[in-house]
Amino acid sequence: MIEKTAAADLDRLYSVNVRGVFNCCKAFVPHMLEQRRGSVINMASIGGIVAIHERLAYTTTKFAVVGLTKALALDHSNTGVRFNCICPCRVETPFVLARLKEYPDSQSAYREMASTQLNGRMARPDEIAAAALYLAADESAMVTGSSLIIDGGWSAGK
Amino acid sequence: MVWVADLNETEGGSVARRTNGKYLPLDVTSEPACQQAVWQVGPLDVLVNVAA
Repeated sequence: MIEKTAAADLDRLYSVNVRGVFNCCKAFVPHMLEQRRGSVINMASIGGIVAIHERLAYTTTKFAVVGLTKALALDHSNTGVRFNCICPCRVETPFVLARLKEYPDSQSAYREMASTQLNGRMARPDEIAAAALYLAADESAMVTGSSLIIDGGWSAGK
Repeated sequence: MVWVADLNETEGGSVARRTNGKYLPLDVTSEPACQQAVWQVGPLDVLVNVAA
């Protein structure tokens, strides 16, 4: 909500989520272009495909990551370097699992977080890693400028 | 070679050990730090940006 989002919150998330990706690409992509090969994989979010309720700043930055990825792919098409992003739903990362334990009823909290996915669960980290492996491998040679959605059906509709 | 760049040495170092990689302390919000990382790491085949 705009009333609850401070400009400083937006700046803080933007500096990591967007400037961080930009800075790393700016540093490493020129060498990939020189080699005429490489794969850049940016971790966006389902929040870069559909807005997440009461996550204004986060949603804003993740849409920016999707846009940055597509712009990179467009500007550097036919160079041998590919640019893609992954858009996961909620994932059972160690960080998320630790936060769930802080709730009085952690199982209820899990169910609530899992309810945004049509299949009723969060993704496992290895399910996201598999997508990164695919995008890193030659099997995805035809894939660039894509947003690979791994969301258990979140973005299919409500 | 896998490089794991992270601001958090404990977590970044742990991932690096599990992947038989090397840990590199890095603040991705700093453009000079990222530019300096290139000289330490060298050219990459795959770059995965996961900081968030």
